[in-house]
Amino acid sequence: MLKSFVIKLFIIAITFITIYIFFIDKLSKGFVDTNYNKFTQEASGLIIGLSRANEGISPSIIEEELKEYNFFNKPIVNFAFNEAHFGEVYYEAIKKKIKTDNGLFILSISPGNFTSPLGLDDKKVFEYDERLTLGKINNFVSSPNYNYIINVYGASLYNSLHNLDQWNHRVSHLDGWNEVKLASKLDTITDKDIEYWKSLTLKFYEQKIKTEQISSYRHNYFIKTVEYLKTKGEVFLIRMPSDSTILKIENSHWKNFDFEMDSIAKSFNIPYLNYSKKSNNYKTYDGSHLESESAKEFTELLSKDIKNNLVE
Amino acid sequence: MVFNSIKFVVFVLPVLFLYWSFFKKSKVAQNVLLLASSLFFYAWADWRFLFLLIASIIINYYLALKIRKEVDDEAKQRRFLYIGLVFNVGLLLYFKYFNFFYESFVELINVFGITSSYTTLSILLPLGISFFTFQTLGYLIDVYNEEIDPSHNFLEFSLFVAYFPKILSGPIERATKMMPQIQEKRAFSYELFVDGLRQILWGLFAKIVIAENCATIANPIFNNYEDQSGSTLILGAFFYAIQLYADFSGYSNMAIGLSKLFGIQLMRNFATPFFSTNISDFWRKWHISLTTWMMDYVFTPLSFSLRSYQKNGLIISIIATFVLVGFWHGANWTFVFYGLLHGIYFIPLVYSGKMNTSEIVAKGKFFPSIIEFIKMLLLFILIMATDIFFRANSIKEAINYIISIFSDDIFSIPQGLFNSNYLITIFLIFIFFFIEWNNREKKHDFEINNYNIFLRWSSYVFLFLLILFFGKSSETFIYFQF
Repeated sequence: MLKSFVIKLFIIAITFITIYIFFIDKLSKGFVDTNYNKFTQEASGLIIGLSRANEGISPSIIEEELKEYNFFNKPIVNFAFNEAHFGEVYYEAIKKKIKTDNGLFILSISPGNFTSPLGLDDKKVFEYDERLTLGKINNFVSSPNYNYIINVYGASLYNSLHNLDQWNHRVSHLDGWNEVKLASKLDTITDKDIEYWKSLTLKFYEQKIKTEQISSYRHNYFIKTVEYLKTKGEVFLIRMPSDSTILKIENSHWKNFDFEMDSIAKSFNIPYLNYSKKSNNYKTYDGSHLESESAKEFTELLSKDIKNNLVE
Repeated sequence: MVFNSIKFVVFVLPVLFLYWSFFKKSKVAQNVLLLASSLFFYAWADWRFLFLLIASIIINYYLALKIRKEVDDEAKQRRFLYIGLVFNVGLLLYFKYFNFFYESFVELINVFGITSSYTTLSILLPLGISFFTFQTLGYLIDVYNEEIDPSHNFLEFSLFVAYFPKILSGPIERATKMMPQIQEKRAFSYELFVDGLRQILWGLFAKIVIAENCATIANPIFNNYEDQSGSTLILGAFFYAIQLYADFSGYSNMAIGLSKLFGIQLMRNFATPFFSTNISDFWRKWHISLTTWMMDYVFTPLSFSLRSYQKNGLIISIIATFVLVGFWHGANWTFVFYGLLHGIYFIPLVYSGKMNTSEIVAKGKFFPSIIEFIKMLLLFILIMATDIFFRANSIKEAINYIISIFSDDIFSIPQGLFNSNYLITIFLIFIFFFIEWNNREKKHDFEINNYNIFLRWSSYVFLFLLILFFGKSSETFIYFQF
């Protein structure tokens, strides 16, 4: 009786696992989530940073603008997202992602890249990072990336049939760029919406300031990351445009941020391109992140500046 | 290592295999394997407090023996009991409540104009401390009251305290029920094993389908409640009430089901509480292991000592007990207020003499009467309102949330109500409660062994598919924090 019971259980388990794998595979062929495309290819160039870079820099525009340079035997990937703070976990992920010795690396920095939850020491910051996306996976380059889907994907598999979680204003490109369009097929983000979302962003920042601290651990790993990337190609530090109110909050909490970053850049002999002062030229959809057209314009300007720097 | 993780499956399958193959020959072998697995499980969750757990086991084991040894000297007996109470309550006070009392004290003296500031200590909360401490406390009191004999077998006692299916979030097991099972060799029972699997399946459905889908709706509403319409806030409170229930009852069902796989039956922790017609009935069905513990060790002695005050004494005892129930959940005034409100809800029942009314709604019928339905609905609204305090970070936040409900737009259509996520979640909740309603007279919510084979297997496949398609990953349970 026990034997037949075990066999029965085994058959049920195998059936269930087969169905599960079938739908995981089906999901991998469509939209998984906004970060999935960042983990499906080796890269010869990376955009590194948080959500501003995630939504504000298009790798394909950079590739197009810089095609005369011999950077791209592999694609350039937008590897920035809102959990990607500097630290050992991100550093190791970057190392596994790069397959070149002559790449292009754009590090988008703001005080937010250097923060960790209040009261955590270095070890705890590392443990904190390990619990996030990058710490849950060890494969950053496979397509399909089952490692990512099984360990990180948290939504329901029903999405493999009909995706419920995709925001109609967002286009997740294969190169990792998450473009946010003001107009979609269903509706348009109005100025009123933008004002409202900006107020939420401000509220978020005010909350965050109370619960976060600037972490020396993150600062050290930022230096370490730059050091490593220098051995793998050209490195550019940039600060992206954002809403002036938000920049003001950031600057008030790290008063000489630009000066310090500029010093670090000089010490490594790399450029620090500060676009935060040109924020009025661009439009955000929530006070912090560039909308599609501004992101494209910004990426074009960034590409030109990179080109100019390379010529020099 | 939560029950619904691959890591846990990888951990538990070999243990199960060893348990029913090489270790099945003697109870000692079974207990050794279970204890070793339990300590490993606890260490995996948080190894830093493994020694605290072991210390708690040793001290309580020794104290129980001393209490019984001094049976002819009541003063000495009482002394050992008090040492046990101080030790166990002290653990809780230090690890769970120290910062709370300290902060509250400093804030209080600030009110009186004495300016002071504080730096809270960085005290980590050992996992499951509220559960295993209450279990050992109950054990010592039972030994003192001579309701049970103390265990003379350290291995068995250790397993009683550390048994891994229940160590992190209960049920708060009683020695009277669990020790006799540990003291006997467990023989494999096909029926019990299958019933355990069913209960695990049901718990999984409750947790990763119902609770997680409700959470994805409730969390953004609670996190930005200031910007929501009154009707949306009602919806947020509704989904949170369901989330809380599905999360904890789901965990409990998984724990109880898992334990059945090892041939040990734990006590029922939830018995379809939302199908209750009054608050007293609700608490007989909600977190039963905590409620019965509080009834036996707090309410009964307290109400006995206040019996001369008649109904007022009873009300004081109830309110004090429920304040403690609330406070047990965590070191925050919101939980105290949560308990206080529940205590207050009992007052009409005490005065009307209906406090002990408890029955299965619509017993033997499919539909409840209109009166029963209205009573259940009103009770649910009360619970929903009280759960706002459970969810909020502060009493002020909870009150603001409730005030914001009664704004001009209370009768507007809630934001996002017709989104597919909302509609699917409502559909899933309907299935959840439909199955619960059908099984409300049974020993657990998915006891379907009397169904014919076709219906039984259809139910399994249906739940499997719902879990597969609508399940969302989750790495924690709400009650882990307690």
